[in-house]
Amino acid sequence: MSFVPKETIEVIAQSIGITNLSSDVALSLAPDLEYRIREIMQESVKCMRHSKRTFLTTEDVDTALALRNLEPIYGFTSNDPPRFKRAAGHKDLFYIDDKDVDIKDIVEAPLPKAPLDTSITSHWLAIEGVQPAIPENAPVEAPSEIRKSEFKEDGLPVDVKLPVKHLITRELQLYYEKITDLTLKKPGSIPFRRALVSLSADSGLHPLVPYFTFFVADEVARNLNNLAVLFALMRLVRSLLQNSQIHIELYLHQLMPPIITCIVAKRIGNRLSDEHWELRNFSANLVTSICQRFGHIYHNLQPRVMKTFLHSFLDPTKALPQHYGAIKGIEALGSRLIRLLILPNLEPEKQENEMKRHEAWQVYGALLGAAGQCVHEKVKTFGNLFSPPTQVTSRGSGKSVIAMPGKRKASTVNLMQQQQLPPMKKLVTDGTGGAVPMNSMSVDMQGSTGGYSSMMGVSSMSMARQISNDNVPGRDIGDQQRKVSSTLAQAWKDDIDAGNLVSSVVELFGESVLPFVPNPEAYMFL
Amino acid sequence: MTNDGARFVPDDFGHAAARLAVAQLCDATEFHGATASALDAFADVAVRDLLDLGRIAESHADRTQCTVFDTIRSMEDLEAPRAFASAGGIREIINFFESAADKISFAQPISNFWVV
Repeated sequence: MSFVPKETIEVIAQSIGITNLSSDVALSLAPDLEYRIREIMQESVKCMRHSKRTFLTTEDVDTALALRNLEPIYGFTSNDPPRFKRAAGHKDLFYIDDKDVDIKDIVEAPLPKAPLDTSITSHWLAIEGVQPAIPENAPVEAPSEIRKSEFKEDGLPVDVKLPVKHLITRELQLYYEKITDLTLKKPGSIPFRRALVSLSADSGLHPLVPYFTFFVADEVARNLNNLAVLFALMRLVRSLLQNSQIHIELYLHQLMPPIITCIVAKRIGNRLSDEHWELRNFSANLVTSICQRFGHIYHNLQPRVMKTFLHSFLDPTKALPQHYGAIKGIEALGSRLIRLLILPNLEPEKQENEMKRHEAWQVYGALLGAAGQCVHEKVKTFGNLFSPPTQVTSRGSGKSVIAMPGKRKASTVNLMQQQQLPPMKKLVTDGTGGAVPMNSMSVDMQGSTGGYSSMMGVSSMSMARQISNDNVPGRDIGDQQRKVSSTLAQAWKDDIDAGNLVSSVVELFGESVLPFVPNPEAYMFL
Repeated sequence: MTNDGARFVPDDFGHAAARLAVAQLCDATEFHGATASALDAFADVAVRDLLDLGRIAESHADRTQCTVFDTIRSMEDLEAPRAFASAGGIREIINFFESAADKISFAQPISNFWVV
């Protein structure tokens, strides 16, 4: 049965002047007409597909007609589609509404806007991961037809935006699958190492970063009993951080929780022999590198990380590995934080449990390392104070004088400053006029702390002398005195802090802390 | 590139210019009105004729630009009857080429395509 009714054939016949067409002829012509239409339409669809289009145009039909050596149909290139109207009194009869137009009107009508010439231009698709609102880019909001307006119980309308599909190329999908497969199944293999190198150096991986961050977060939560996989995941994160081509900072909120989990998790790995300590150290270093790189962009990043570590460190209910992770995390963030957060909270604790003895030793080692690093930094800061003495002359039992060559005599300002020096310092006068020569100073060597504090005095006094010798014209001596006193006070405070720090650390850890003191400075403890 | 099912929009500007040109021809031959479909068909035929003329002229040229003689040969190929009806037909075509800008002015100023 043809889809072209015989009535259509009769109407077409009437339109070209054939009035006496019999029904039988119309019935036999209908299937042939259908065949010809199908033939032309199939050719048209071929032309459309070859043009890489999904919408059939009049040009495709014209091309199909030309392929069949048929005359093209003229007059259908207009953008205005033909308007069909229903014939009055006939339910199924339509005709094309062909209006008469005045030639003068067309001649006087203005031309439409001239189109753009074919050219190649560049525009920003995204800047720092943010799509700029320019005409070339699709609007960020979902189109109006897919945005549904719903109503809450209180009757207020709510816009529900459907999720936008994030399309990535097939090659990137394969790359992602390969990397994730290697991470989970062959974490120690050579292909995995190559994959890490690729992740740290290749450009064009930015579309995959959200997928990798989600993968890391998901797998860390899932594989807390699998140390090898956790280590592989952390190495993957490190490679992503090393890649300068991608903007990892946009995904730090997803990346930080799994890394911190690897530092302060209660239990990592399912065997006692698992060296999870190494993973905690590695992850702590990762956190440090993140804070160093992105701390200036996200000001609350380091405080939040620090808060997490401090909570784990101070909570007595936490397990020893958690304390270890917290200590390592704080240690990696710098000696200043060790001094502020760890050292004031140290208390000796005896561990009777044989099982936990190993863990306790690890925590002790971490604490010793942190305290030692802090001492090392502080001693380095005052390194010039600890240089071996050039001349040491004995002045009686238990006393020695360190001669500082090349120093000038004290000026009147120095004499004024002597009243502000702390009483701990022991000064030796030369007996001539009560003035204290700066080239001699007694040092109590009976205790390491005493010696340390006394030697610090040299720094303060020499600083005072340097300031006093810079006589700037136009300033009265009162201003100088105030400036010198404030400088001295700060210097003396630093000295006292350093002395207290070293003494407290030595009290807690004994001689274990000595390896952290650089060689030239170590003589002070002898 | 695929247009993902979006409607293919023909060249509005080109079609409007062609309609204007044939409307001028109709006006010159003292037609005062026409049906919209007839005018569209006429514009379509005129555009196709020009395209064929240019295509054949280019094939005769074997150069980057066509000359008047290439155009005459393309008219000959298309069997344009008016071009060679009189003895001075070719001379008329050459004269037209030389002074076309002075003789016929378009009804509307046609701007150049914008270049971004």
